[in-house]
Amino acid sequence: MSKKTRSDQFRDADIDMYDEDQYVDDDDTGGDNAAAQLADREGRVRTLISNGNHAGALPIILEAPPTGSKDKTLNTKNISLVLDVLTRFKTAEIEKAVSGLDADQQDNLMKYIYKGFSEGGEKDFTILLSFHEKVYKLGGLGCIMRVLTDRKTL
Amino acid sequence: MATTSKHFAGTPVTCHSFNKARTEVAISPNNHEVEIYSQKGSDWELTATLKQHEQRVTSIDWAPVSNMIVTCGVDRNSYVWTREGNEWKPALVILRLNRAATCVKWSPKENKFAVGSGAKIICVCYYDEDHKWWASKHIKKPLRSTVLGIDWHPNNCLLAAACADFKSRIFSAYMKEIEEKPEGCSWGKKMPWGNLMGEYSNNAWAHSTSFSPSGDKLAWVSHDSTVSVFDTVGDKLHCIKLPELPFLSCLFFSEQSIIVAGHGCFPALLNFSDKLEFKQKLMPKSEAKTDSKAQGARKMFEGMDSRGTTSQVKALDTIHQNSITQISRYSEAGFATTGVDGKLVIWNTKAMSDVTFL
Repeated sequence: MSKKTRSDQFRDADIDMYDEDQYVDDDDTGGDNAAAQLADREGRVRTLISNGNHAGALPIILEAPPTGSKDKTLNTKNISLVLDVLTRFKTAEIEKAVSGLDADQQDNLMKYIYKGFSEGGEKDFTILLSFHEKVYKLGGLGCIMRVLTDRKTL
Repeated sequence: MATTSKHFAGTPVTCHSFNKARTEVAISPNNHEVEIYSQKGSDWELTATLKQHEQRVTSIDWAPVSNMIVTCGVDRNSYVWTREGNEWKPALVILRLNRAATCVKWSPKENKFAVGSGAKIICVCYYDEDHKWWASKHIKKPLRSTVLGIDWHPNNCLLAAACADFKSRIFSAYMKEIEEKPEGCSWGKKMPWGNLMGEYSNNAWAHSTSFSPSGDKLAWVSHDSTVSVFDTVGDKLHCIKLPELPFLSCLFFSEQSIIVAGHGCFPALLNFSDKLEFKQKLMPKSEAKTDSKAQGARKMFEGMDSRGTTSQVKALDTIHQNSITQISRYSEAGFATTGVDGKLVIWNTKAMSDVTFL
């Protein structure tokens, strides 16, 4: 194996801190009580799911995603809750559930769908493809553009 | 839908601007040159080529009254062109930029113009009588990224900017050196130089912005396929998310109608009365597609023969065959578009019987 000839420590240096007018994203509000919000939402969603009403849980999980939160565990917890709800759907139920959503909820759902694609993992997320098809039908390419351009990532 | 179009030599048209009589048009064929075409019957004929920029020209604006053309480009320069006989003479503008100039626009009174740039600066340029050159003053704060589009308020003082830092802003560009103090308007009473008169957030970078003819409303388009309007009557922001590809250009056509166009290759009409409403895509009627089956088959074999392709290359059913990059006003009832497909299309809204312009 070749020996490292140069230090690569410089890669860790934060050069942006010396730039006076560097670009910083606007601070989100609501990052603080995201944990409380999520706990509340999870409670409601779990009750609905246990009654077999995952269609009713869909609009709830799409409320105010914790995009302002820097807490990674909170974000993963939120995403797994959403994916849990989505994977309970049967393909035939999707169209009806999605058509009841407003434009903001559709955009949020599309965000979760792409997040689900990127997470992948052990679980089978083929249901997400069916979701994608139905949301795309309603929200069009604009909906996908909004996922791609939004700085408030999940 | 009555339109006339001109196809420029297969290169994208970066930008365009007409003269006052609409008998001549200046375009840039996606390089460092600006070409001027004159209308000859139903066609356009190349009459002059303006060569001074060293890199791609990004924007052109032709002043209707003074007949001067201002251009700006990636080479960080801007030139003001004046016609002497059949020649166009350039005058360099001192912009003092270290990044590309992206957009340029004459003010309504034509005594100054604004240049947006990648240097997080808007240059407002005026003619310095003492030194006999075009000098500029900078607006810097609080711009945090490239300025992609600008538009002037009819009062000749306010300037709207569509920025890549996810904001749309309105600045005062009142210069006490060269003009009378403006009266207050719906955006504010006092307008000292460089003052930020309004700032609105978007979820994506804004491409283009346009004041309504009265100047009381401002529209802009951003890359999340959203059209926004801020109305000073009621101080309210109206947004509409659309299912289309993002729009690159917008024009506040009348107090109640906005035309947008972009990557979808078609212009679209939005109405604004108390709220923003998507009216319709402006598309040619479907009779344009007259290919019968037999013709289709013939085309397929022609394709196999001449290009070695087995499948047909299907043309889009829009007039433009690629992204539309600029919309400009053509007349009271008409507008013009140019795009990456190299086409200049003039749209006559009077003849659009199926479209209702408020």
